[in-house]
Amino acid sequence: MKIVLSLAACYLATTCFAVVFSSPKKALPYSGLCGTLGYAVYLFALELNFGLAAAVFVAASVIGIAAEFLARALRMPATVFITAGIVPLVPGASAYLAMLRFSQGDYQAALLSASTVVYVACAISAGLAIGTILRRR
Amino acid sequence: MKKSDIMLRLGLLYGELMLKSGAEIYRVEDSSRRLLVKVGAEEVESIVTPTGIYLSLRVDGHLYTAVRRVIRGSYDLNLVCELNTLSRTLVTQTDADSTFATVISLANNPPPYSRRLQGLAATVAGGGFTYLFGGTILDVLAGAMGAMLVWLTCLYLAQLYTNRFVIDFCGGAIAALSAGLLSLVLPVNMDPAVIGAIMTLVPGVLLTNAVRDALTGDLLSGAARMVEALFVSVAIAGGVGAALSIWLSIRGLV
Repeated sequence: MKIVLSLAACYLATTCFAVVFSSPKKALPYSGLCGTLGYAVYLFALELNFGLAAAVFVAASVIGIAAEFLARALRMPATVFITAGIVPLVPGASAYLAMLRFSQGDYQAALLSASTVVYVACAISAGLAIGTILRRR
Repeated sequence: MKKSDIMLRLGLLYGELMLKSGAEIYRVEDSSRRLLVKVGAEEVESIVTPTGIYLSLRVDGHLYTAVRRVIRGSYDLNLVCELNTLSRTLVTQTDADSTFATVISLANNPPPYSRRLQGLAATVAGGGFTYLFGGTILDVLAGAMGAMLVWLTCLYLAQLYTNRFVIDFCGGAIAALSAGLLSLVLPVNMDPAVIGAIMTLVPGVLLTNAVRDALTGDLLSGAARMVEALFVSVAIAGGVGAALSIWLSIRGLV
């Protein structure tokens, strides 16, 4: 039940983000789907004890592949789906928390958040690259 | 106007619009090369960075170069999509003048969503992310309200002030203040409510795109966007931190 609620919140939030990014109207439901699919894979991977970076990597590669498929089917650049789709994974909140902890003088917590930011961002980029590689083949 | 002038202006305008609307660096370079070859350039070479475009064309055997300073705009994926399609569907040997007119008309198209609808979307997104960050129903409402206030503040400040740092700082401060005020009367958890409220400001997508640029070899733009993401998060955290500490000291006095 909690998972279903989370995924519903994720779909709603991702679709709304697509509106904030001015995505084409036709792409809206698919952007939300892309984001929710990625988030579901991420939750599942965490459930299997993948570790944060590995879970994010797998989720991002699923988003990348789905975005390339959608790009071909709807004749739009994959960026449209990727930009909104990665929002639930993206380390924006950790980046903010890291800076907040630094400003409060809690350097240990700050460095912890900052390193999370770095490896999550790298894991997302590497995962998305998989979609790109498959397209170019 | 000379043919080469029109083509340079077309290339710069096209690149500027794409870059401002949130296209990746390689896409800006790739699509503008495709477009310019179709309107008759013999050779196209461009260097695109987040802050500017350098474009060089060979037309009728002569080499022409121009530079354009670009200031970041807000995301408009619809425009990216349409400009990208234009570069792919244009037939070869199209007249540069008419393509220029097409690009201008695409840029002047009304945006797909009204400001009000985007504000509503930002509100709902704020609530949704508050839930994902472990908020209760009350937190979700607080996060959504905060997100709406942050959106309105940023919209207002953007009209009167162009400095991104100040806008993000104020957005962070408003998020913390609204969550703080609500926590006086209701049992609201500050952390998820604040994070949900600032979700539309936070530089997550920016940071990820920075790493993606760096991975594809656009090192200059990767480094530039990382610095931008760093300053955006410093601005937001500074705003939240300042508002929180003032808030706590006021509450301590009462």
